[in-house]
Amino acid sequence: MIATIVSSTALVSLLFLMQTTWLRNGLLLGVVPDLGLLVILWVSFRNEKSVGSFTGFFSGLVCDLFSAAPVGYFAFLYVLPAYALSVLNRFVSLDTIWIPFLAGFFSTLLKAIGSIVLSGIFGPSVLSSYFLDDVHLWVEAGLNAVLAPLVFFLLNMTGSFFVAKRTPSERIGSHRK
Amino acid sequence: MAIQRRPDRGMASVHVVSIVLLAVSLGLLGVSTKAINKVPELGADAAGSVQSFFSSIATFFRDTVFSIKELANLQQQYDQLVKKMDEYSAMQRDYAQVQAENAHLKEQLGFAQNVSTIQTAAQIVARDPSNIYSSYIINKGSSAGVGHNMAVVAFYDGVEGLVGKITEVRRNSSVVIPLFDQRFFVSARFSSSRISGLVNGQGSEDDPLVMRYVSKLNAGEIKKGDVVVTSGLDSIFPPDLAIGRVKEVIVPNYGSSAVIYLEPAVPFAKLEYLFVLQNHPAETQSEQAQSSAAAGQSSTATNVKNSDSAIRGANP
Repeated sequence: MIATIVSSTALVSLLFLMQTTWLRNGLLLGVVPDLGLLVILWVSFRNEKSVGSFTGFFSGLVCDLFSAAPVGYFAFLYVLPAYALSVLNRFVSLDTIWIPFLAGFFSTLLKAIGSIVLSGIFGPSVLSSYFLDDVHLWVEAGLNAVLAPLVFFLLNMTGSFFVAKRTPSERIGSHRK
Repeated sequence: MAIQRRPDRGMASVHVVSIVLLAVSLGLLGVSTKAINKVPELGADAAGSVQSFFSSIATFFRDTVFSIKELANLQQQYDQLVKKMDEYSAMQRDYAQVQAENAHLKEQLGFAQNVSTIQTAAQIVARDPSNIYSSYIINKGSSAGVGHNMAVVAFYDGVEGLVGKITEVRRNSSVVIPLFDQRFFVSARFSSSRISGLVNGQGSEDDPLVMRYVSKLNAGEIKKGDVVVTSGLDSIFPPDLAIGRVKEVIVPNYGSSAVIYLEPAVPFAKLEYLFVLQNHPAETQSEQAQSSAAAGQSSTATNVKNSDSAIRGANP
């Protein structure tokens, strides 16, 4: 589990680096897709227990390092969708296109709502946030939705590298249930 | 899309762990927004170095590929430059004489030397990974003399335009918060009418800047295209740096001040190189504040003082 969290966080960090440098001028209307978020979503979907939430938390801390945001801001924003997807994976099976598409879209909105809540708590002069009437938010949601199936497809090809192995006791427990 | 309910394996731990992590994040956020200014310098500096490395890879490829195309243009540019050189050599002869005359006239008029001094030139190596924040990472830090709250400018079309200020300094990189950020405030005035106000951004480089605290009584003097510059009355920015031009003036029916939308003086999307200015001496500002107060600009001075206190509140 720890190895999965570390390797997933490392991959997300690498994607954050790409976002800040190679993709810094954005893909559409100056908006950068959140590739790190898509990896966190996939990890949350494919792993049981809290691997996704931990990956979201540590990746968020890394993102805080790269960003002008105060520490803890992105940690909070990335745990939210990771938590949601960890719960959702009990009910929904991962398909090729539609689930990644919807996950990418609604997770971006969840992140936006989280940022608005945080900005409301700490004050807009302290924390920036998304605006629901800002076209950039919807462009980012659209980009994340469109890119999610591709990112999920590529991650599926990595096999079990980013999936935690279940311990024997967990396997026995699942058979009993 | 198949919807089914799977066994409830370890869901309780998922809830507990996620809620704990959210609480920890909030705790960290509470501490970092109040007590600790930013992350430990070591981690942040490492992040800056890695970003510089990534940026240099992109620069290498861009330079190599485009240099082939560049060669074709070089000959043409060379011919043009030779022609320009002839013109410049003629201009240079007159320059020293004009400069001496200018200094002499300034001295006679009693003006202070008011040219902003560049601390260092820097390249933008990275931007914020998110679309919420809008910071730039530059490749110069404390080792190049960059300090907290130093003003950052860029030259565009021969104009020295304000870009932002340094909010975080690492050894070999720094974070610049740009003018269009929601948390950025600068005391400003119109270069012609000298009416003062407070400018801040709306969070996106595509949106215009907003100038507030301009009395409605003065709004009639403001025209579209008027230039807004820094007033130098805050503790950060030297005076007369270009901020933008008036795009739209809105005079609300209720309220005592007009809202003015500005088009930034520098195109943020095209920025590659920035110049960090040395800190603006505080003595100069207090002198200016006193002289402007003495000049009897009662209404605008009140606005400026309000702006200053707002700036100091926003820029601790």
